[in-house]
Amino acid sequence: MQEQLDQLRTAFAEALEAATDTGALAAVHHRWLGAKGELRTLFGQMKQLPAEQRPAFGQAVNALRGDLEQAFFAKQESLRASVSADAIDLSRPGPRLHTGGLHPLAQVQDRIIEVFTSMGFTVNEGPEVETEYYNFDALNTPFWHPARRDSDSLYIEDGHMLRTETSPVQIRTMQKRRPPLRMIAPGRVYRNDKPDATHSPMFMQVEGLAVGHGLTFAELKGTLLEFYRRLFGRDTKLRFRPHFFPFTEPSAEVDVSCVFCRGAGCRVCKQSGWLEMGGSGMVDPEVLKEVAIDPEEYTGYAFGLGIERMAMLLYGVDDIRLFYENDLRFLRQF
Amino acid sequence: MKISLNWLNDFLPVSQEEAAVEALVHDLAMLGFEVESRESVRRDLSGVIAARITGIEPHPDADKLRLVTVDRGEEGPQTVVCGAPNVALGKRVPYACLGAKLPGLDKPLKKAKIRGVVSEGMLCSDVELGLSEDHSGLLELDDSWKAGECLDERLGLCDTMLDIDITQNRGDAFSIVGIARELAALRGVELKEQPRELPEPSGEEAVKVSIEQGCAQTGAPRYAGLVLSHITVGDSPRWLRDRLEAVGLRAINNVVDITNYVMWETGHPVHAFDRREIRGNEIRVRFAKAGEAFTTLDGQQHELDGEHVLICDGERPVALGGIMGGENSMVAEDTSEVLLECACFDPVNIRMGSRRAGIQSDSARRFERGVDMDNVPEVLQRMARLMIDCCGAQVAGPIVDEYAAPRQRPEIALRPARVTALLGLDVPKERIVTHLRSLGIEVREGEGDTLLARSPSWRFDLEREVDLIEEVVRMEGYDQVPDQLLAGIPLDQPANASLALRNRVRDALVRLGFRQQCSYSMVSPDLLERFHPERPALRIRNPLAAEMSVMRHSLLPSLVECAVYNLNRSQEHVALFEIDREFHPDGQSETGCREGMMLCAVLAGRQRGADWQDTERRFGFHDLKARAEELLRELALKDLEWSEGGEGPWSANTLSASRKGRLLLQVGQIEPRVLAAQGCEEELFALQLDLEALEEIGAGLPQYRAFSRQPLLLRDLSLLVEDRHSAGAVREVLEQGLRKLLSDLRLFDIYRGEGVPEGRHSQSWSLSFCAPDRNLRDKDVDPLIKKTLARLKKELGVELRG
Ligand SMILES: [Zn+2]
Repeated sequence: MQEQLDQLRTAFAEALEAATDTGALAAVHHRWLGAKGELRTLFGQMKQLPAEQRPAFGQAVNALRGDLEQAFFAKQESLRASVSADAIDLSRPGPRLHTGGLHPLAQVQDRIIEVFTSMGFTVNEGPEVETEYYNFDALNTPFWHPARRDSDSLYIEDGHMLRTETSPVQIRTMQKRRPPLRMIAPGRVYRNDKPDATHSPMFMQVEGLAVGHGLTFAELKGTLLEFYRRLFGRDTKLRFRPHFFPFTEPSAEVDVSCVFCRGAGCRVCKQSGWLEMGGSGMVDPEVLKEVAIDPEEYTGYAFGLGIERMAMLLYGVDDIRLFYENDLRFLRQF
Repeated sequence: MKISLNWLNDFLPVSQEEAAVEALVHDLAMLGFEVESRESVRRDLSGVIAARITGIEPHPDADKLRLVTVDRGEEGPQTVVCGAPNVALGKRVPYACLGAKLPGLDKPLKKAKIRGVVSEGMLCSDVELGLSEDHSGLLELDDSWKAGECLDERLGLCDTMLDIDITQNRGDAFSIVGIARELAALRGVELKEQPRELPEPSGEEAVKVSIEQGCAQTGAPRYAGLVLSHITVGDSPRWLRDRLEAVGLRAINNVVDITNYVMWETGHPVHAFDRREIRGNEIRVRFAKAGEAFTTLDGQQHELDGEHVLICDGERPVALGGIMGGENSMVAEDTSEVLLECACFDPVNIRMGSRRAGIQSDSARRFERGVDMDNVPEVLQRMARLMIDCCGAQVAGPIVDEYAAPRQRPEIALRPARVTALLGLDVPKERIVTHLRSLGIEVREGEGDTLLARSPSWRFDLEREVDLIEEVVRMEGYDQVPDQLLAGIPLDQPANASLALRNRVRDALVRLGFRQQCSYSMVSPDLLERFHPERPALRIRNPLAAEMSVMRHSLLPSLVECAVYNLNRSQEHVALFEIDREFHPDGQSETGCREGMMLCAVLAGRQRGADWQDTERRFGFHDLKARAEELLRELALKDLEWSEGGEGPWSANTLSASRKGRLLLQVGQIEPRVLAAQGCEEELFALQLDLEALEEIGAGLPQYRAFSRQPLLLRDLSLLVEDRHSAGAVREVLEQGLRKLLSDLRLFDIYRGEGVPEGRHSQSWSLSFCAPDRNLRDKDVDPLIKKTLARLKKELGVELRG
């Protein structure tokens, strides 16, 4: 009997030694310590023994079970420990990646260009240092207009100026191309404005111009509505308000429904539900005449929209100066 | 311009209810008048009544206090403690009941014990009632007040102020009546007239008026005057002061206040002279003489030029026409007779004249946008009426009116079909007529379908058919314009090739790990000077600040500035680029400037920071070189002529690439002394690509070259090279000699020290070979390597390391 117990003890020790993973360990448990394991079988044999031998046998088997279980759990522990020593620590940070990226204004400009080119607009450019002729005269701006003052515009020492709008590109384009035409002109413009959270002496605008047979105020409205819907979502609404610009008549200020509150009123839209986006209108007949286009034959529309304004709304940026500070902690967010 | 809704209510019904004010703000916006801000003013005097002083006793415990008994009408008598100096029997003063919420007090009025005497209620000065800052004594009510009468009805105030943005073209709306006119047109209501009927003049007092030849056309086309007598100069009545203060004007005295009031109400600036100071009983309107000096009523002396209009009496100038009155003839406390002026001035003359003289005045602000020239008598009558009511004035004579150059308002032809054609909105002819007439535009039928329209005297912006079309759509409502998307523009429009190329370069830079920056084109001249002292710069005549006073002729300084900014803020990995214009003065160009498109990129700081896997490594020249090579590969640029060495901000560690003598690309280290001047201690590497040169040369598309699918045969060679020979030279020989089978080569180690003789170093090259059609064996490459080693030895003295 004792012999039988010793054999079992040895066999178990060998099997336990041989087990190097949790699967093998489970098999060992099943064979010796399980509900139908060999220890159970030993207990079963007890009935066949004479009654006086039973207590001693029971004690011996119980002692054996205690030893086996202890050995088993020790092995299980050591196996667990060795497994985790080899495992990788998933919580460690990966190495920092240094990726490149486009400036947020460039990303917004790309979207603007994408939308308008898909609507048949070309992309044009013009100089940033301009003549007063292109910046003002040709755009029907009288010599006394306040925008011409030193306090509003920046002038070069030689008498030229930094363009205050992208609108001179309208004139340059119409001088080169005859209608029908459709173009946008994104670019930098300059004003004599002290920088603050909403002003910058240099900022980005996108000009739009379409000249053709039978172009209407309604098409201007439809075009801008479609543009803003693609930019801010299909439920965007658009509102035209009368305004005055020397180079358009009728002129309209363009509002879109607030992208934050969807028109209900919030802090950003000052409770009005509307956000001011830029100016637009039908090209003034004087401007068409200036480039020898007959306003009786052709009509046109034009608009000028602020790119920073759109970027601020899309990305939730609350200070225009951030765009020109180029702090990497800002740039990396886009 | 600020307007008060109470004031506006004189002309058409306006409610102060929240919803009504909202609707008003909306209507104004849709008429083209944006309300920039809005403010409510409330002065609730409901707990304050008029009381008559019936008894005055000394206070038992205080010298300066008295016990005053007042009659409160139905409420009966009451005794209160009062410290005001102007307490007198029989006077009518305001009495605030317990619980009254006084505008000048924080809490409702409570019973108070003052030096041992209980006081129920209080007698009030202007301060407690929120009427003014005058705390010199009790507000004295005149005899028209009955004891017990509530003050709220006569002195209370509930008003809303709107600050409205008036566009440059709408001088006609720069007044209460102007805004009222627009609203009345939109809402289809009649404008109420304001009282201006005058009694017969008491005499023949008049001042002779003449406008000098030539001055009428371009200076002052109209001048009218009226003499008033029996004036008592004093404070204006409360309602008038309230209105002026509400719109931001300071009350001065009744005469001056009324001129301001009339200006704000009618939009027509007017002036009142002290009649005593009008010498020779005449007014002559003339241009100033160049250099003529004049002192305006604010005490400032101005030197005038030949285009300023002067209002003169028989001897001297008394006002700078349309801009400001003179110090010598202003109304004084003892003035009893005034000459009222209502005149018209040329808008451009006033705009330029006030700008030249450096004067901004409410008067100039109105005249420069255009002021109705036909309402002069009405304005004078309105002003006189108010002076009769508020200053005790009498009309002393007739209106003298010199209208030397009447304004012409020719008829404008309007084709109804054109309205639809331009707007894309169908407006029937009858509606067009209704809209125009509601705005005071005279309309009659012309030939065919045409309408003939004449602008009203107050509008200066209606000259062409298109101007009338804007009026039609404004009245119809901008929100009635449908949104349409029409085709009609052909799609064969020219593409923008330079933009496409620029974007290709830009996207390559992003893939190479650079962040795009966007910096001001205006920079400091010192900054440019540090990098390129040899280049001339375009200077701004009126810069915002010295550090934004020149247009940059190089992007490099901006990139360096931005890199330094970030390094100083512990941003260790700096890889930035910008693609934008450089500005070069150019006398040949119509804009005086040549604008060139440039790419500039910089690397500085750590290429990689230390972490648990790797050690840190700083950026070096070759990091940038590798990126430049990759960029050139993407742009398929070949046949470039390379040279070493730089000048100006570029150190000797610089490579330049040109094609046909035109500099295209520079890749190099920036001179440390230039960086030091910029406060930068770090090494900084920059890349500059001339995008115009690139456009001319033309970037290509990468062309596919077949590669072998056979396995590679690898060999490493360690070579002993004299220090005077570069890796580039060795590489060239290796490539030449092995070109038949070489697939790639890589320099994987440079070593100096033990085992390497003095004056030499070891270069370890890893070579990979393949053939297009077979598996290579050692015997295929061995002879080739042997031959190449012999050539290396012969040409460069290179030996195989043992
Ligand atoms: Zn909102």
